[in-house]
Amino acid sequence: MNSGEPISKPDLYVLARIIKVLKERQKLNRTALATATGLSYDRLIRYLEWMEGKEFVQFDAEGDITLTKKGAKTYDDLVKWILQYVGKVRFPKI
Amino acid sequence: MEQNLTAKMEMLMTALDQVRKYKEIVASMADFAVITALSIATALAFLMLAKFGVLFGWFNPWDGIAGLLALLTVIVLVGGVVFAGFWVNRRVRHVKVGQWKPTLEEGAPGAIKLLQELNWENIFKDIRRAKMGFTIYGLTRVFISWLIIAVVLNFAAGFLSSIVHVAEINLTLTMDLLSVVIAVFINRKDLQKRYEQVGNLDALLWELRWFDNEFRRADFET
Repeated sequence: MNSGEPISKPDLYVLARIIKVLKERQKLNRTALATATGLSYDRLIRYLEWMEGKEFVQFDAEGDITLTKKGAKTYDDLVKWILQYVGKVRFPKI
Repeated sequence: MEQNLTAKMEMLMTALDQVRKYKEIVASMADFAVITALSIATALAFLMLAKFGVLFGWFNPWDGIAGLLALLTVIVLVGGVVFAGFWVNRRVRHVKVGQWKPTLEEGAPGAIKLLQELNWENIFKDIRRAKMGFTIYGLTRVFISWLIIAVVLNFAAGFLSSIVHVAEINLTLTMDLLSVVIAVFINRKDLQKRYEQVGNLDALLWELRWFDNEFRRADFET
């Protein structure tokens, strides 16, 4: 499944999109996931490789992708992490 | 949790949209000044024509021409200011807001994308400009109100002095002072509102500076 340059620092937006789609749809093949996330196939594969290495996703025998518990937790942690900062901002009525 | 995030992001983006609108007020101040200055110049021309017309005997103070010129002075002045205000309002209404809404509909990923795309330095600059704009706007409003009231009161004073023969210079001074008091009085709520808005923008600037600083320093570990 090697498709060029590996990802060194992933774009959090892309990562979040992939995880969100997998959370909602449970199991998808690569083409359907690329369509659902709006990513090019090559870019998706590079992200999936990176995510597989981090144990965020796993592939079954048919090549379908599912989100692992670690992947789901990472997404929740990411949302919590951002909320930790945005949540503290008070917005005066302007 | 995700809904909390999108709700907070919606508040942030709405506040930034509002700042964008305020920035447009500052940008349209030049238009406002030009339109107002033109109307003042035209009104002054009518006023001079009325004064010199009477002085040089081109027409009688009590015939229709002098009255018409006096009326035109007020109409041009008030009309110019109203049009300038309308023009600023039109520009502000045309500011594109809420363009972030489709992105935020994606939920947390959309919130992340919006945060990534925010240009904080520009935002801080916009807030500073908006603060300045409000101060200028408030003062301009008082000045223009004073100008209109002063013109109207001085017309009335001129009319009064021609009937009861009071020294015109005393009346002019009294009317000018009175018009300052009236202008501040009728704009007091607006001035208070602008003052509060400047304070709130200041508070927003500090909040966002803190957020930018903390968020930039932090790094999400995957």
